[in-house]
Parts: sequence; structure tokens; C-alpha cells
Amino acid sequence: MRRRVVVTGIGAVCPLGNDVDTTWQNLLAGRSGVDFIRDFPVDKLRSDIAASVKGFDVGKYLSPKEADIYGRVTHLSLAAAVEALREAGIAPIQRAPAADHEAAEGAQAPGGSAAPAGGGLDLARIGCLMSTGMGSVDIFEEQIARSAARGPRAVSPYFIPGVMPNGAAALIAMRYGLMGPSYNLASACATGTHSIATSALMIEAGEADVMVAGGAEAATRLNTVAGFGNAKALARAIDGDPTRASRPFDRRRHGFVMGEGAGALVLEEEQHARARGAKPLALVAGFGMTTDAQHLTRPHSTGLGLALSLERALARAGVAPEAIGYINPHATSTPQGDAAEVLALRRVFGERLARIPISATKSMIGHLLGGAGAVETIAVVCSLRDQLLHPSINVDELDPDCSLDIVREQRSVDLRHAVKCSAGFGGHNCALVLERA
Amino acid sequence: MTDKTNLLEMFKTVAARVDRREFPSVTATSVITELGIDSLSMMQIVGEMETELGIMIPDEDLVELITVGDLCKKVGERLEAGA
Repeated sequence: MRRRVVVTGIGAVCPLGNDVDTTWQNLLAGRSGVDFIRDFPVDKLRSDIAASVKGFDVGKYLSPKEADIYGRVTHLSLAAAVEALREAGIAPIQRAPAADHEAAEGAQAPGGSAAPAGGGLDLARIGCLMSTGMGSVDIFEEQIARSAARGPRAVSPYFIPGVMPNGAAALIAMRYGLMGPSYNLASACATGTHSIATSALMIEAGEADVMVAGGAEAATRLNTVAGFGNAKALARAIDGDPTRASRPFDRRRHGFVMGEGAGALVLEEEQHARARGAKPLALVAGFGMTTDAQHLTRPHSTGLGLALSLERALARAGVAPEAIGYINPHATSTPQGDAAEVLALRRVFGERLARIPISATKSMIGHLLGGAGAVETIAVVCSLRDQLLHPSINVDELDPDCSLDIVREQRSVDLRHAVKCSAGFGGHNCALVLERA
Repeated sequence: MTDKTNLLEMFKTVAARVDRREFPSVTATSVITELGIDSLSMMQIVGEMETELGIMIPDEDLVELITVGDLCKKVGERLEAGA
């Protein structure tokens, strides 16, 4: 019998809150986390808006020296993982800075042995795929500027360990003593979803019993906003209002809003979770991973790759399309992306698509790039846990080509199965089928 | 310029900046590893002192640095060689 995968912990840091509860309540209320960029000059940029994490205190998680070494994406990743692991009842083995009552909870003294924490867990059977699509862009920018100003001898010896995309996985593994498989995978905007799918595969295959899985991004910097903007991918404020810019499936959608944040899920083999009394929040029932193999940045014109990933996820879960009661789409708010996604969904769900509730998390938190799929999957887990759907905002006039049941206000549901799908630059697609616990 | 006290004070200032903590009781005989400064942080301190003073310390001079005084001596030698 196949090993089943459950979710036993979730953690998020995003533009609508620095923990899951705050984020989920703000999503249910239909609030936007998008605002004008204030951290760097925007006068020559094609977009001046972004969705940023607010009031994040890295000192709760890292010493000042550690905070210098790692980029912001790693800071946010660690914070999300700390929240998820705490909910799952897995304690750190290294003490965080004194101020961190959360990460330090249950921790042993520094330098303590790597003895199993949290009730005899085999730490060699716990792994971590906490990924980022772009890595520590801030460290890259800082160190290259440093070299330009003062010469290459001034480049920090911590540049490479600080900038490497697997920094978060390494840091989380060290903090919790996780000796199972850990690395970073990157598939642009599908990174978070792919990390969840690959972690579930790892557990199904018996390579691990528990995986910390998710994704993060903190890449809203002058040169990345310039890059996406010059590619004509970014949205601008509507009538001077940045909160109206991210509008998936609306007729006036014209691009995505860069966001930052991290989402982490603790995935666990079902019997393993039950044996130690960890409460399943949802099941990862199936996943599918495919590639468009057609164009570097443009989605497949008929959404074929994305449709195939959904079909694979449903087949793997043994769930018929008719059983799906909610769709959390990729929905970046670009004209071509949303249109191709609707074609993909119609291929999979047929005419019933127009009657399946659908809401785009990105309408409120923007596009978290490598973190998007993870935070959005957490929203689906919350929906299955609470039997509530969050709305999609800014659909002032539904695109006539997008005949969908848009959730416009928080909705109570009897939900058993939901799908989450993601697509990334490069043509990488990943879909998940999630099930009520 | 090559005053030993000045270089020691410079070390303390640079070490505090790169390690984000104070080093109030450091003397020339302080052993670097006992200060909790790891090898990468040490290279960071060397790089900072080099670029601030406009010198380059050859790698062979960095092999047997045990104390803070050992580093200050090498830095002083480079400053004199450049003068």
C-alpha cells in the first residue's frame, strides 16, 4: 500500500502577516498587501508597486552576524519553518538568539548532542526542501557593489555561503538537526509547489518520514524590478491605487505584482504522524509535474503542460475531476498566463469548471515567485481545515473568456478535495491534489 | 602609521563591525580562535584591513596567524614595505 502523506504543520511570512493565522484572517477578509515601493528609487522603473513583508524582526531567529551572512529570503524561510515545525511538535536542537522564545522553545543547550528531539524522532529520517527560485538577490547586489567600489579583496568570504539558494535548507537542517535529504530545487514561480510535490514523493518512496517543504522569495530589488518590468511582466497601480493592481481573471489585468515571503509545510507519512500524536491538517493526495517544452517565458498557448500536470495529480490521487470542490490557481494576473490557465482548467474539468469555486491568492499578496506555490498551498490547507474559502479580489469585470465561479467573499463550504497548480518561467508546471484530513 | 597600538585598535574596530559584537579586552597576545572568530570571519577582517589600508597581504603570511599580534605584525610589515 502506498505511504500516504499528511500535513502536520504550516508556517508563513507574507505581505498579509508574519504568521499563518494573521495571513489567513487577512485573506478571508479580502485585504491587499500591495503598496508603493519605498525602499529604493523607482523613478526609472516600469512599475513602482510591490507586496512586501512588514515589520519582520530577524533578531527573533538569527544573531546579528548570522543575519548579515544570509539574505532576506533565508531569514523569511527560517521564520516560516520555525512556525511550521512548532505546530508539528518538532523542536530545534540549537538555541536561537536569546530573544527568540519561539525557535528556542524546547531547545537544548548550544553544542548539545544531536540526540533525537521531540519524543524520539529519528532525525536522519527528516529532510528539508525549503527552496527559492532566485536565491539571495540582496547579497548579490551588495557584494557586487562592494567589489565595484573597493575591489575584489573587499568581497566577503561569506558571499558564496550567503548567496547559495540552498542556504535556508542548510540553516533549517542545522537548527533542527535534520539529517535526512535536504537541498534546494528551482523552477521559477513553481518552486514552492515543486518542493512540496518532490517532498511528498520522497516520503511516498520511503526516503524520509518527515519533510520540511516549501519555498520563499525576497527579490524585490532595483534590478529585479527593472528586469521583470523591462520584460513587460509587471502591473501598475490602477487609478493611483496599488491594491487594485493584482487582478487575476479581470478584463483589465495587465501583469503581476512582485511579492515577497515564505511558506513552509511539514509533510509527514500518515502512520508516522499518528504514532506520535501529530494532528493531520490535510493530506497531499496527489501531485503531477510536467513541462511545456515550448517557450522560455510564454505559457503554452492551450495550457497543455499545465493541464497534463493536473491530470497526473488527479490520477495519482485516484480522484475524479468531478470530485474537486475548489481550485486555487496559479493566476498571476498576466493577460496570457490567466488565459492559458483557464484553457488548461477547462480541458481537465470540462463545462463543470464554471461551477467550481476558484480564488486567486495572488490577488491579495501579489506573486511570491519561488514562495508563491507554498503560501498558496497553505491557504488551501487552511480551507480544508476550516471549510472556508478566501475570496479573489479586484475582479471588477470578469474577462468573458474566463467563465469561472470566482469566490468574491469568504465562503463556507463542504470541501473534501481541492487542487493547487503552479507554472513557472521555463515552462515548469506542478499541480497538487489536497484532501481534507 | 605602523604604530602597534593603532593597528590593535583598528583590529578591534574591524572585528566588531564584521562579527557584530564588541571585543573590549583584546590584546596583542589574544589567540584568534579563542575569541570565537572562525576562519571565514578572520578572512573578512583581513579583507577589511587590506582595503582600508590599501595593502595586500600574501596568502603565505596568513598561514600561521595564532594571535591578534601576529596579524598586526604582518599588516605592519606590508605598510612599511609599501612606504
